[in-house]
Amino acid sequence: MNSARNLQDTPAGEQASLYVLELLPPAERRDFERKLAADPALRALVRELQGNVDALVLAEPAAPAPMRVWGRIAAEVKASEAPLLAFPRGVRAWGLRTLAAAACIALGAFLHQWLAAPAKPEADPAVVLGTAPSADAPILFVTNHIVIQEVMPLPASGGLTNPPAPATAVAQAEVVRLRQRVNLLASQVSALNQVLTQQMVLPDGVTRLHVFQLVGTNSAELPPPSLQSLPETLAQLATGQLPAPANTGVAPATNRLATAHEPTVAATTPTSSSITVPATTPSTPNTEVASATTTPTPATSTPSTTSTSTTSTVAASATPTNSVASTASLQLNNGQPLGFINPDTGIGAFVLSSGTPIASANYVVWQHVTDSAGISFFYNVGNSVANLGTTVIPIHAWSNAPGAFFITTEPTETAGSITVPTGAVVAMPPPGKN
Amino acid sequence: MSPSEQPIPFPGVDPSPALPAEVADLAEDARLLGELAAGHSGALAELYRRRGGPLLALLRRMLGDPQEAEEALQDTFVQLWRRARNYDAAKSGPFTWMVMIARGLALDRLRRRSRQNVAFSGYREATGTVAPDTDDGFTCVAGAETTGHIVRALGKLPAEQRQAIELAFWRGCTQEEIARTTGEPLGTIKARIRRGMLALRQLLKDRHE
Repeated sequence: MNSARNLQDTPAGEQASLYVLELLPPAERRDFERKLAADPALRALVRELQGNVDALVLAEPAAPAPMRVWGRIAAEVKASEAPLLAFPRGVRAWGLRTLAAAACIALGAFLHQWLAAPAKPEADPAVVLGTAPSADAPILFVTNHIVIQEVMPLPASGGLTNPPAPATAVAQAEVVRLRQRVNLLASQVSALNQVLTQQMVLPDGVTRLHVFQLVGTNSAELPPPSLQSLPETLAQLATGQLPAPANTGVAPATNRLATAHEPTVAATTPTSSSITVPATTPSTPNTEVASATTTPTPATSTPSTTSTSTTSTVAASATPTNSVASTASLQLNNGQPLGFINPDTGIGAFVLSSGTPIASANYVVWQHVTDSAGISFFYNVGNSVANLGTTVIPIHAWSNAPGAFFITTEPTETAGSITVPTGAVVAMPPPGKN
Repeated sequence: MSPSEQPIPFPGVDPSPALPAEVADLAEDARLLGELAAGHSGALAELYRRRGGPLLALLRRMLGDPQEAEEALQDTFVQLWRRARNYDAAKSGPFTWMVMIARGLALDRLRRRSRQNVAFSGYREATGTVAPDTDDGFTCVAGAETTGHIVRALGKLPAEQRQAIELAFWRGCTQEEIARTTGEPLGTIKARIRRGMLALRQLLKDRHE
């Protein structure tokens, strides 16, 4: 049998070089591809020569690919995508809770009767999460990232029996099938619970949510595990369960999301005279980290571009109802998607609202983080361009610490390298991890 | 260290140390293309982070116009998004496939600009150091060591072989156009390309042996 080395001095070997450089005329190319399909040694030679093509490109001095190009790519891809998570009009929170409860009960019964071994997550990303619990109930679709392909009804509880031991291929196949079913149900419950959380924190009027999923299999690419706690954090913010800031002897935390353990780090507290209100978005937002120990005086801040005052809307934990209610009067982006995405990993979300557009504003995406010592930070993780044409806000980075994402309008307040949000909270998106 | 001093972690690539970097890179590219084919938009972002830089360098060199190169890069990744399902690992490596898409788009643009009749004296006009972009962009996978080795390998090729390959690859010249440009018979050009490609393959393989 020919080897790649033996072929290199033959006419086929010459053709392989020309083929890799796309130099063969069409007819000759087609003929060569027929040979290629039938000759493993020739394919091996072509693959080796294709390494030359890679090398030619990699030898070029390369600058990092610009973020601005990615923004355009993401917008174009997004425009061609189907909605990933839909909130049908008329679906109310109680209905969602009912669905989730039913799914939980069904899954619990199912697991109790059947599941002997812990379910292994399915590798197939095309598994679709969906539920149609009854013919007249509102149908809620939840997918990770792709268009819905299938709707699976929930099983009747109590109707399952333990299968025979998997002594045969048929039995083994049945085990696999049922475990897949369990995994699917577990995913449904998880997704529904997440929807419940989102329902609680999203502004009124939001009709569609477009959620990207973080992808990757190695640890460096996976989202920080602590992001899993975001739904709870957001729910607490929305329902006012987060405690009010403790009295630390510093100015009230009216420009931050308070935590249970407000720190006292006077050494880093800026004076109010050093606080300025930038007229434009910071150019390197991800390098600016706002500490809760800063206490800019609200009176020095420029009012938000919306009608909501800066202090009443950002103090979400102290007045969570006001925070959410204030967003109800805001209509985002003239009905076009407004959201955020981390172009590096795909984390992000898009919020669509309907109604009267708000005035032009700069939007700022923040991550509120509390470290183990209870110190709060606002990571400015993304900024939009300055007007209503914005549909995507790139997120530059995020913290590994637990923290909720939210969007405000400008202005922000800065003191040195510290920036804090003072604009109105216009959206509190779901956690980046779907 | 206070939290405000801590760097914000950025997800990145962590190829297995057991594999040569290039092999691990290609495996990761292939995995990401698979994810992309399954509809994971996040995989596109990761591919952009990994390969956007080299592909932009390719497009800049081919097109000679940074702005048009960026437009072509955008088109390339949108094509990757749309055509990921068509990727056939049996026919080409993942990066080669991406390169071919980018190169094809660049050639289309060149043809539209009627720049196909490139004089030999101008074929390296777009070569040179690429200035760092002021945009807050993405790092690319190929390290300086890898790039340096490849450059050295290319430098070891006889000038006429390298010339023929570069005219074909970077300018999209046909065999006949290369023959006209260099004033050599067509058969000579074919032989040069074959010898040059085989020699380059060997030079690159020697690195790993």
